[in-house]
Amino acid sequence: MKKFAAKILKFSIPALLFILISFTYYHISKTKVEAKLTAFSAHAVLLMGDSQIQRLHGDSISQGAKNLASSGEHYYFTYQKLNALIQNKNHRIDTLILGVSIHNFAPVYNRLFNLNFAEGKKSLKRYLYFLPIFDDAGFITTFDKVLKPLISGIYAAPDFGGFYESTNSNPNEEIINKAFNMHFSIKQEEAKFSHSQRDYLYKIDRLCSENNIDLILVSTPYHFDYKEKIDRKYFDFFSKSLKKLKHRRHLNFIEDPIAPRFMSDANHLNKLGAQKYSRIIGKELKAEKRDILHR
Amino acid sequence: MLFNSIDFAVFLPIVFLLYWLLANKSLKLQNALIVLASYVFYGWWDWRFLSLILFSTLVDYTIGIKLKSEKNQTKRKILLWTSICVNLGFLGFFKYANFFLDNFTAAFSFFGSEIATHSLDIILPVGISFYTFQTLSYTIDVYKQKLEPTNDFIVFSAFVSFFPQLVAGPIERATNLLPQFYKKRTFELSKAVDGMRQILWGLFKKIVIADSCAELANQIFNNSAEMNGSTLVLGALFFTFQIYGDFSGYSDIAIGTSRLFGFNLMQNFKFPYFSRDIAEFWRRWHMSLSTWFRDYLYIPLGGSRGGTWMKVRNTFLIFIVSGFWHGANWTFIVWGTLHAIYFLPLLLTNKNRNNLEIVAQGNYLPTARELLQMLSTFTLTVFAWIIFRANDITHAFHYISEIFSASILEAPKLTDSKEAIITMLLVFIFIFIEWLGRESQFALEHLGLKWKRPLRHALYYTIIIALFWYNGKEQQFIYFQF
Repeated sequence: MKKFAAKILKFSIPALLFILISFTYYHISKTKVEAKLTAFSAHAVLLMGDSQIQRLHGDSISQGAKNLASSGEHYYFTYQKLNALIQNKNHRIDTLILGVSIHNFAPVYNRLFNLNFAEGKKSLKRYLYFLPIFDDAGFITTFDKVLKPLISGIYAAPDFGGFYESTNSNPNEEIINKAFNMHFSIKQEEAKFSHSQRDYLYKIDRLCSENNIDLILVSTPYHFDYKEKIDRKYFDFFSKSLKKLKHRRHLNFIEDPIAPRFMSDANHLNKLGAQKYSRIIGKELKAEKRDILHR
Repeated sequence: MLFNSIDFAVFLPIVFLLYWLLANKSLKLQNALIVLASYVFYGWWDWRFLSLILFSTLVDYTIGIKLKSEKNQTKRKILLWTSICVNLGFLGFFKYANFFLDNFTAAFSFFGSEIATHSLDIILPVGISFYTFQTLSYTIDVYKQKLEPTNDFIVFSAFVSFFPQLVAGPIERATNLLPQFYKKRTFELSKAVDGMRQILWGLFKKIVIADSCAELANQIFNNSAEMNGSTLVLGALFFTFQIYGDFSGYSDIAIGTSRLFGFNLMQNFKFPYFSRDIAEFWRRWHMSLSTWFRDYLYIPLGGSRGGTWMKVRNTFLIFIVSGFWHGANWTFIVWGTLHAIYFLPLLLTNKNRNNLEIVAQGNYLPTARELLQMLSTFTLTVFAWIIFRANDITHAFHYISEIFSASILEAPKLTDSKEAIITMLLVFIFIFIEWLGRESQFALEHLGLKWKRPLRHALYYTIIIALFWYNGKEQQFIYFQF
């Protein structure tokens, strides 16, 4: 028995070393991430959310605004990022421009928040450094299925988000269908709406209130064909969900009749579109929040 | 509790340490700990069904003792049939009630009279087909006086509920396993190390091979109406390796775990996809079940001793029952029948025992003839797996029809072709390793033993890394549902 224990121990040495190295690496990286978050928290205006908002020019909206939005980001991760940002007691964040769209409540967002799906595992890898490992939010409920994304998350660069520009335009039917299927295709056993998205949207709202951050909701335009494909029930769910946030300003451009030359695909503005709408949003904000935007 | 879960990764070392450090003082303690651990293991899934195992244990324990003292042949028969009825009654109710009810209704409707029935909301207790057959083998052996019944209830409980093989086999014979509970187990280093190696290989088969193939096989089978013939062939191949990796992987983990506790379980798979004919395939696939049916059904019915008619009848019967054992679906029955059709020509021409040894024994490569034989047997097996995997007979029919259409000449279409190529590569590596180790109990048994330690450990670490890499795709073992 002793020999067996010794054999197992000897065999485990590389694994133990790997765990030790990973643990150390995680802590070193975590410190670097925190330093970066501290730097970001010096910006007065932040843009957060998913890929729609990622296309907007921070500077066109407000001088020095920082875009931290990222593609396919569930609000849970936005919430955790924001939470991490305001951990810096000297943060200067006073406005958060958050993307909200109809597809944000589509089934795909359930997968992004569920470790049983590849999308959820990818989320863990991307946002590991922003998450409390032993959270009670229902994301990391078990370590059973997540060893791979957990380990790769330690060694991968954390997804802070950031501005993204596309020069594509006039998306064809295939591109639009692809986006539609990605957002709204659903297996029988899956939920039709992402309730967790709505819950974390409200949590972001509460977090902003508690920290005196002005939350402004922005919905960028959709390609007409894409919008036409979406079932009305998603429009209804979107409106109902946003009713609870009536006290927040909502700049809604979803119904804008936008020309396809401003769209890079079904639901993303391209370079031209981003310039146009960043200016519009900037003007809208300027009109109402002159004092903040000229700081 | 699943073998490929964190729960089991915690459970196993705890039980192992308690077993060898605390319980090794006495045989009774060792057996009691096994019973306790087995009940925890099973109850982890659903504690309510522990009562079923306990009841089955009590019935067969009592009947076993009574059979010993009872000399009257009629009363002995009654005792035997009581055990058969209780065990098969449970199995029939939980597994087949809805099947019979639905077919009964369909038959009435076919003859023009509609009857209103409702399917019952029944949960199938995990492993019921396995432990039922195990306890039945005990009672039948005691009845036939091949085995002395046990007077030790703990020993019998440990035999019925032995956690490594409780839920998916191998279906052990009382004659092999029961006596092992009477001998105090002492720790054997080589056995334990061997057990660890077999667990490692079993996990590789399940997590890396079966679960990777499962994703693609499910994708293809679930959307078969939209797939072309060549994609459907790929789907059938992926399922072929999924079911083998899944089930033989489970058996390897079960046998390896048993070795850690000082037990020897019977081999359940002997590289069946290297078989040269269907008879050989059945000597190598799920051996604990096929030998069970051979010993307790085929031979009592006369086996192949009688005339041609008896041979044909018994062959069909054993294969159909074997198919039906897998589940309450016509697909399993047709699958069994198809194998009977494959097997019968060999039996009738006395060629069913032509290939008793493993192919190309002592050689690196098979002969051209052996290769051709293996490929044709493999093709027949893959074809039968389509029926086994299909949702129903109509699904199987459409699936097969599309394979035999012109679309087989088109290139396969998969949503993630990169994933499919990687999985195919993994399967090739797997076949290669299995080929190298085909003369051993399991492929990894002797592989690398003569290598220098760092190299050997590098091989094991490669497997462990692959396990981490592929962990989390699919959890359930296919044979749990049987």
